[in-house]
Amino acid sequence: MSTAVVSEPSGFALPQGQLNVIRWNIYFGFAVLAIGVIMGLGQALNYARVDIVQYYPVVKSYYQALTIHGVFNALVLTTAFANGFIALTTARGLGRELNNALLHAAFWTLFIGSILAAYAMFADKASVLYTFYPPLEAHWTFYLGLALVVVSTWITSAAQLVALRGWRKDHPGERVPLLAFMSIATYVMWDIASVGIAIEVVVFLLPWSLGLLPGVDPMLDRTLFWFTGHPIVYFWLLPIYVSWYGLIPKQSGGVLFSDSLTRVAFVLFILLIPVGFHHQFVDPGVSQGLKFTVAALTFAIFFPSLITAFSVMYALEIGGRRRGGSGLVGWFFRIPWSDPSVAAQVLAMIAFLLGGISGLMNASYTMNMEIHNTAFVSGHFISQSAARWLSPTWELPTG
Amino acid sequence: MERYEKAFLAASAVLLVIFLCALGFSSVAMGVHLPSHSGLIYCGVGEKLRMVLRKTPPFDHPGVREIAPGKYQAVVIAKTWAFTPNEIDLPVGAEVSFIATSADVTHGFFIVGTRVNTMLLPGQISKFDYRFTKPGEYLLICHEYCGELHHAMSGKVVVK
Repeated sequence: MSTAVVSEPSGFALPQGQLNVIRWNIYFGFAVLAIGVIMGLGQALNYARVDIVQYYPVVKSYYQALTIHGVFNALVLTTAFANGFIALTTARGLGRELNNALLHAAFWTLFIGSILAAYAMFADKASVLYTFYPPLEAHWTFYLGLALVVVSTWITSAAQLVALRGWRKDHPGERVPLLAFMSIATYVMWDIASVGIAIEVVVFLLPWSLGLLPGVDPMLDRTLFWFTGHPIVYFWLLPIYVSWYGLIPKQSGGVLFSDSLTRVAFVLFILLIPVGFHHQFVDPGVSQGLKFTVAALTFAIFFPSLITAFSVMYALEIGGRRRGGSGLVGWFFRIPWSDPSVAAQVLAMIAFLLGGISGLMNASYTMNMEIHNTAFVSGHFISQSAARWLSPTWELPTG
Repeated sequence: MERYEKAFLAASAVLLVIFLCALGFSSVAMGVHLPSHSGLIYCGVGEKLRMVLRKTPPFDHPGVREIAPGKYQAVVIAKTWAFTPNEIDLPVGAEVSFIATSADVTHGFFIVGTRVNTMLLPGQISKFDYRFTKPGEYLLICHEYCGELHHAMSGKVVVK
């Protein structure tokens, strides 16, 4: 049942031009991360009652800095990274080039969108945080910019599907290589999940900010937001799962536990999209029965992550044992820690463990009443996300 | 290996089902209720929500009242950046029903150290029942970002 072959890129090299676009995406992501992190430092010190935000250039208020931090780190970095990294894994998984025009279009759409949103935020016209709940109102460039960021993911998805169609023509009846399957599944999940935020922004908020709509329904808009708002976390998470499933077995010298089980984990993420309403556990206007159903779905989505924990630990353990590790935990110290890509990914797994466990506490809606909208959530969110994007990047120069 | 795989998956599934049962138990047997449908406030195009609230009971008279022996109703309106009333006085052991809404943007309603935690959305009525068994001064805060003075938006519940 074990498979060592995740992709067959032998004899295939992505053209330099396409590699460059992929690099631009990643570099752009890290550039905005750098700004976002500086804003984040201001927030962290604020908890220690030290206000350094007042000395920041351009930025006028704590909430303006917080908005920049959230939008850059949670929305722009993640999208830029996924667009770049997943384009690469798709191409390598299928062993073929991507559509050049689409790849470039995705990058420039993301870039222009981010600049528009950045303009609104830095000009202090959009201090609405990255959740931008109406009727707090931002400048129209903020909404248009974010809409373009989402459009860039759809273009990337189209590039993947075009490549997949070409691959199918050349390989009739064959099974899609796992690396490509995981990469495309990630974007199919996101294509469906992003419909909520797209409707919220394009149909309601953008026309409203331009004065074309007299008002908005805060309940409807936040519901649309959260339809996307939790699966978006899977859109950040799955590229990392692609890296854990796709890179770790090879890097650690182990084997991938099971091809089919991996595919099942990714399909489960697509099937369990409506978990996002768990952000509305203490909202009025949503019945307790629906909240219980969503809690059940949220527990269910923990299952593919448990599958992943098993598979990835298996790969690491086999790798560690092959390198001479023995005993119950001895193998853990023999995995190739000197490889920065492996070390970063394993450390990210440990951080993610805390994120996952604290997430189960949030998912239990009765317990959630003690912690909803408190600093606990920030802790959960940040341990979920921190370190994850950096980790597979070490591998990219060899891509 | 197949055996370990099946055992791990089964154990994972059982664990999650146990969590779900605990959640079901806390909501049914322990009677912990979440905020849910408690009514809407309609505000037409061109009308100001804050004006509509002035004519909509019970928000036309925000404040605390005893509705039956030992039972209280606290009607609260959240508005940038204050709660009306901003102090709620209750006797120890009183059963209180908070009925709250927002007059402008989305606010939060959280009484620190308790499980009283609900969102306040314009146009939606939030209802939350609670019993304060310990005397003291409890901090009531808005826990949803609502604009530049969000952090200053607080009130208190005094239980004597």
